[in-house]
Amino acid sequence: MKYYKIVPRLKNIIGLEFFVFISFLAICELINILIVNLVPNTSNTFWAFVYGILEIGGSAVLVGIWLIIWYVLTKKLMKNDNETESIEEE
Amino acid sequence: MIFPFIIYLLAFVLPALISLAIFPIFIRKMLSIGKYGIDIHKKEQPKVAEMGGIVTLSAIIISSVILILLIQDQSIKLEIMIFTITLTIAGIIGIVDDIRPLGAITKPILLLFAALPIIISGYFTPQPVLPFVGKTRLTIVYYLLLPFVISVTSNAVNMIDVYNGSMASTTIIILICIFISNGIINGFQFTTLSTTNIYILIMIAAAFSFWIFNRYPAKVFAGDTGSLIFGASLGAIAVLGKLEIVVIIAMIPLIMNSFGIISSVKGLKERREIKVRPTSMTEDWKLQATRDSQAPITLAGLVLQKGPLREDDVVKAFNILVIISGFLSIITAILIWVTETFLVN
Repeated sequence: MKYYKIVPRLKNIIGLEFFVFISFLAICELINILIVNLVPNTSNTFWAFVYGILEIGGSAVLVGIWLIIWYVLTKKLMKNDNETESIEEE
Repeated sequence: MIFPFIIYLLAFVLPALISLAIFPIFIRKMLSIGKYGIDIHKKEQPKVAEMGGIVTLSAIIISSVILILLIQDQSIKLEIMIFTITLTIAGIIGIVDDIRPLGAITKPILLLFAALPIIISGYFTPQPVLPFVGKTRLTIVYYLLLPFVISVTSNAVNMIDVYNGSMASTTIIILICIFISNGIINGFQFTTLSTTNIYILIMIAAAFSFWIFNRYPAKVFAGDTGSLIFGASLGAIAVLGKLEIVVIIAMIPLIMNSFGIISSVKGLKERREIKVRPTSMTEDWKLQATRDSQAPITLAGLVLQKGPLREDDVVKAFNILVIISGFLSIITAILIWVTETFLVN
């Protein structure tokens, strides 16, 4: 089968790829706006450590949410395609 | 002026020539001593030589040694050595796994050791550059994550090595996109030596010459030896070449595949431990999704949701997905370049 004939059946997965990419960029921008720019720079070692933990923790939460949405969408993609198939069979 | 160009040329030509010369002999030898696997996706169930990664590893080691002897810069020599040692450790783990299968948890744990040469050498910058954000201050987190880099990329590539040519072709596309991205971020250095260019050229040549023998219908399987080497090379290039984000984006379909498998089977499991397969063969020897809720979520399963496909068409589908993620990785490289050049001082 030619490559261009395979593309239409991949549109949902390609959509998921773009979602993963765009949401990754969105997370980068969110980290920049909400975390990097808001957390003040300080020369105090204790507060620098606390702010560092906040930055990493906040980023980790965002990445965690991103991964969960990614997983849920993949599961949904499989279910949707299964349902489409069974409707077509009927 | 001409010297870097000769080194780049040798970095590409040497592994290709060595692999192309050794593979036919290796395949005959492996078949004659009974070291073969059965290609279960073909009606004829042909015998295919196993552990082709040994040839790839040998070609990489020999080429690296020749390049090290030719290059005068001590720092570049050392970097090429670190890259080769990393791949050799991953390759040895793969050989052990091919001879005596390791557990699903033992293998990634052992692969943590493959990152040791990079960690000990200190040839990395713990400040990955994110688009819009610029250099991040992840010093401690970076050190914590570093041992997992080789393990994660190796396992991701290992999990895509399920059909004839799937691992080799996707790796080639990823490497080409990383090469372009590296040029965008660090400049296309053809008159000065860039170690990242050398690694990528070595790996493209090694993957391409392996693909010639592994493409549909395969004459040789990579085994874990091959897939772990190619995976480790992507991890090593990401860290040594400071291209972490670009490599992650380029590998999205592979990450999707391994993330889907690990999350759906609830942990690390070997193929033989997974009872329900994600795909099966139709009567006319096409691949179809099993549609069993117990089956792991795989990229092949997703591709086959809309109906059965021939094995080589599934690999083409994988290639299309990697071409798109590769294109996105090049966009990421452009964004990183823009961020570093214009947005962040």
